[in-house]
Amino acid sequence: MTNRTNLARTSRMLGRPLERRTLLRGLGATLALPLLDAMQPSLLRPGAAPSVPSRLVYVYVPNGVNQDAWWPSREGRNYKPSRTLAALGDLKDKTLVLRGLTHDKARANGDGPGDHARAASTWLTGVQILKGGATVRAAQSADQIVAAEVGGETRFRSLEIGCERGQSNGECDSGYACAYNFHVSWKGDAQPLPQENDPRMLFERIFGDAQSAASASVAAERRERRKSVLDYVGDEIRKLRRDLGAGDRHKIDQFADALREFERKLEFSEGDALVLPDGTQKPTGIPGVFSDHVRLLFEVLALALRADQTRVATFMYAREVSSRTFPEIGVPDAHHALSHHGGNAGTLLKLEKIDALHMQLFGEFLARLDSYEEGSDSVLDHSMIVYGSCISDGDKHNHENLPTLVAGGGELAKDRIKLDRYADVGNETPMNELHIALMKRMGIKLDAFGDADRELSI
Amino acid sequence: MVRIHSLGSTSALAAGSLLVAAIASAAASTGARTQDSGGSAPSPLAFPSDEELTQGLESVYRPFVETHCASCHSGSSPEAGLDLASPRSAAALADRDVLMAHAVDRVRLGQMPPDSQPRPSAEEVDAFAGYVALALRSAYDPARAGDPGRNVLRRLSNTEYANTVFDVLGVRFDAEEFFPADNVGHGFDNVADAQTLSDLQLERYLDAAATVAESAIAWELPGDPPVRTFVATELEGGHLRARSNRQPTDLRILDSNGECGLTIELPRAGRYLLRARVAANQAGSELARMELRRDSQILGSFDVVTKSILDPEEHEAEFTVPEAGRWWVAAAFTNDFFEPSVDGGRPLDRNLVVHGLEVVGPLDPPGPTELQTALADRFSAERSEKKRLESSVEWLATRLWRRPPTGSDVAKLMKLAPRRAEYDQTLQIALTAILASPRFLLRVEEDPGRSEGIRRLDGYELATRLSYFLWSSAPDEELLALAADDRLQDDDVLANQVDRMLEDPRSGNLARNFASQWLQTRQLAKHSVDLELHPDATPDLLRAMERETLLVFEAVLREKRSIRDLLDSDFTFVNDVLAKHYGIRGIEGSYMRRVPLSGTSRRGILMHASILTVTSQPNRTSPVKRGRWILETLLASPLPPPPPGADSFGDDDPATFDAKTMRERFALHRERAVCASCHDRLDPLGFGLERFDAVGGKRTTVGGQRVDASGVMPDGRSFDGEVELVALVRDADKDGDWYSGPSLVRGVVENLLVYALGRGLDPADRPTVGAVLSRLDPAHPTLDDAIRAIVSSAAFRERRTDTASR
Repeated sequence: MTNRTNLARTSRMLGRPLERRTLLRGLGATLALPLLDAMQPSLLRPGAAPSVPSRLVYVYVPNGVNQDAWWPSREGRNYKPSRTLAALGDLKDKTLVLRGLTHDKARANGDGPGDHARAASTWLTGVQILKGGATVRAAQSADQIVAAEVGGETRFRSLEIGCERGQSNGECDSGYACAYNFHVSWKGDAQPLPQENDPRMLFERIFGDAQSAASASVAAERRERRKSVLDYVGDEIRKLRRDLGAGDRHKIDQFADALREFERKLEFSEGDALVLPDGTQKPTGIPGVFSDHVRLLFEVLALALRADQTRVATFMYAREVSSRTFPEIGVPDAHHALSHHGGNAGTLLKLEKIDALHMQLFGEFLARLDSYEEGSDSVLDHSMIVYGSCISDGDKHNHENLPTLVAGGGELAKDRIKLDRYADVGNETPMNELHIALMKRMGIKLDAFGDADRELSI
Repeated sequence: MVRIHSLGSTSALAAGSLLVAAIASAAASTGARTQDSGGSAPSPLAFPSDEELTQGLESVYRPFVETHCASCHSGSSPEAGLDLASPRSAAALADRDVLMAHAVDRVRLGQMPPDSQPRPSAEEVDAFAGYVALALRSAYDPARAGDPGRNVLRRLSNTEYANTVFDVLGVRFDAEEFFPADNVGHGFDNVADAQTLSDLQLERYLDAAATVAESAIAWELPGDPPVRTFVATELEGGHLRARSNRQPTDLRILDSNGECGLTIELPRAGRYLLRARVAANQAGSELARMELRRDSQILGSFDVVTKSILDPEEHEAEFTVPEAGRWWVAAAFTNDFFEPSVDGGRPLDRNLVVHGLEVVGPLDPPGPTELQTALADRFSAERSEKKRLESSVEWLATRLWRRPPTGSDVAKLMKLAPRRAEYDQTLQIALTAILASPRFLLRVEEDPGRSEGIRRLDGYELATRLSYFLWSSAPDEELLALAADDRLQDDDVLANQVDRMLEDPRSGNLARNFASQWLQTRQLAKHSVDLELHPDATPDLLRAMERETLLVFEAVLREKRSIRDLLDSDFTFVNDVLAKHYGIRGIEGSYMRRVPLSGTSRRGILMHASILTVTSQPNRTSPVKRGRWILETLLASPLPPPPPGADSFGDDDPATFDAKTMRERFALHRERAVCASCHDRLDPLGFGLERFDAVGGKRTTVGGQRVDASGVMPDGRSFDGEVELVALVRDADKDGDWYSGPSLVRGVVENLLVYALGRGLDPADRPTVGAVLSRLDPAHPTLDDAIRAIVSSAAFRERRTDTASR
């Protein structure tokens, strides 16, 4: 079988083998079956669904990028990949590099400093966020609009994934609430969505705890128990909502929404009934090396997309102002500090190394999706994947010419977006036009989004 | 990057610009004292009456502004957006404290009025500054206290969740790993406004409820023990011979001595069976020999007799594990044999061939947990099994919901189990539901049927606030008993309970949770250090650093030391690695112990490696970060955000990046006027700590040059080195004027209030801050007194009813 995926083998092919302790062998008999065509998504979903779904994924890079190394020198189809883009690998024909996209609402516009906070939280919401103490106010992000509208066709409306766990104290950006730096996905104005950081927990959430080896009677008892507990919690919430003052209601409403969403998920077949590719290994935790961490998370996300457990996802390499160091590629300095390079050649070189690593890992993710057959082409061909930062040059904190790369296939090619080129869409073109264009391809027609009132035309 | 300050961004601005004044103990407080001279209050600084305030406004403030400021700073579009002429009351000045303090600062430093204008006399400036300080301070007048402030609905933080299930159920649950990270607001993870509830969080809460209940109440559906089978491709060791036409299954071949196995997750302590399906290539005089192993333990040794590698046989052995977790199980080949052929034929080669492994179990039903035994003892006198069950459910709900359930609550919880459920099954399901209920996860304070206004908390509500403040955990039975008798609101009873609770070891959670967040030492767990430059900065050392600071905080709390001892305590806590880092000799062993600091130059938390490290970059110090930490974190005096056009680059400022030494960068900061107004204050403070490197180690040179740890504040006061710097910082509020300038004592109090109330402080909370401060002894302010004063404040004991529900 040519398309059999052996994650262990693939990981080794990608470079250094993963640390052994980060993978747990032996998922038990259920998952050890050879890859079957049962992996075809349509078999995993009840009811009618399009045979080949569209997917939307956003991958976020914090702190901007080294400009010289990122941008190709010439536009058009036959552009020569820049030094950073070269790290993407052999995927030029399935990607599109866009120049000119701008997030005006990430600029100060009278709110003073705080470009990092604005960057992460404006990227997908497209709005000017509120500066004010612990209070947050942004808007529903593009991925969440799609998740709310069409996410119900899969078990998970969306997945939010990131490599940096939330903050441990209140070190933030210039008077903005701390939450802004950490989130690109916003379910509502004041509801940033937390991310899965641990590959193992992400895996278990999607594919079930395959180690439990519970017998049928035990599983039945658990299902019944869960149902009665859920009913009970639902009653409790209704009672509490009645008794609580108006000021506290919104918190209970969040509780009620989350419970409904949980019940909706139960209508889908359980993840542990999925048949995973032979040799699939369950991650055992968070690897110590950043690139291994990213690889494992991307691997689980790729499996989730392939098994049609979700069609919408966001992935943050790190929070804004991340001070991650990259000793494994000879960069022992903090990313954010480096991003204020001041034109220093040595610093720029280190930034370029970080950017290339990010790009390489992204390329591996795309290649994986492209290796999964789906219908007559690949999972990647039915996906739209946006990769970029909402700060252009970390030294300038600017929000124009945002480094943006779009990957995918047929979905993008519908209407006007053509792949395999480097296109300048014109200075100050709202990033929100790209969001409108991609949301439209996910079945959501918006006349306006943030400061954009039309879809990106290129 | 300004940390959100507890009094909101407005007051945050004020304090920063007043640092100069207070550190120099300049005109502000002196002026104020003059005006206060008629007061007889024993508190360090009396508060002015409304009359005095009005009079001062007319006689001092307005004439000064009219003469020196109003030509630019008034009207509809005043210069710099600063309208000094419009405030008509002291309260209006206090509401605009940021701008006012900034204005006073400019005037006092002679930057305003501009050079082109006539200068006010020194006396005029003193009087003006004195009056503004008085007006700002008046906002803290405890006489104005009494409003409990805004209500918030708090959810258990991850730490509180873990502590609660441990204290009540005896279950250790890693909430920090299992739940999404808590968002932080105003510096703390227990601030309600920052707490959201996502789908993911709820999913995890439901899973956690089941997991915790299963650990607390042992019960399993009787039946055959689960069997898990692992085929060759899932195992490690030897080499894999993939299936082929001639070989229908995958095999693992051990052609030399070694193990073939896997790491397996086992759900709980107990007995299990390990079974191997193996075959062998036989050669030599012995049969192939296999051992079954669990980690290094040999479970059994077997001769493998089969002759065909495709015709496996089974061997099995039992093993036990002491707890749930991951364990290595394997089949080992122990008597490898190989002889090359002598005559060109096949060599003699003995191999073990593993077809697969199976793990069966747990084989025994689980034994009762301590909680089950305790519940059985407690309710052994009940008449029937049903009554015992009811009482157990009621007890669990009371402890976990911090309030007794109603009879119908208990009946409902009992009905969740299927018909004819076993006793422990019913209990386990009820406990799952109790833990999944919003009444457990949220700290609910309800007002139905109450009238509009302010009410005292009932006993259970107060017990809950108290226990999560002092213990980060649920109220114990003593608190709940007092709540049941409605006695907890009695002043004496409350005070006695605070005594008891602070003496209880659980109050260590206050030190751990409060101090680690306030002082930001929690950041150490995630802090990156350049190990090439600082090879000693291992995770062990970073952990010891954090422990040191928390232990010193705890000692200052428990020994009722002055809060200022945080800055110059002459003792600390070290273990072997930290002692080595500090150059303290004769310390062995990894446990932290108290040591005197006499003979060393380290004093207080400002010289703790923890703080010096979190305020550094991975590979260099950051005087700006350190200065900011002192101002914002320690002295509750955040700087104003950089003005438009400047940006918060800190010392990552590109303009200064190429400069060779810190000093040269510093000089560049000062050259740029837009930067200088803040960096004049920040940088000198940070430079005072330059004798400590990026992980808090002592150094005398940096970049080949001798370290210069001297600094000059904008007002001209200078210091040399960390010891003089600490004295300056410690004494910023020495004269008891901790209301309107940088103040360690006010900083602690404000942060404790945020932590206790679970919300940021509004201007309306300033009288509460004042009320707490007024109960401290200016000569010996203690954490203990501050905590007591907070607990007895209206903000802590009362709430404004929210009756808008119907």
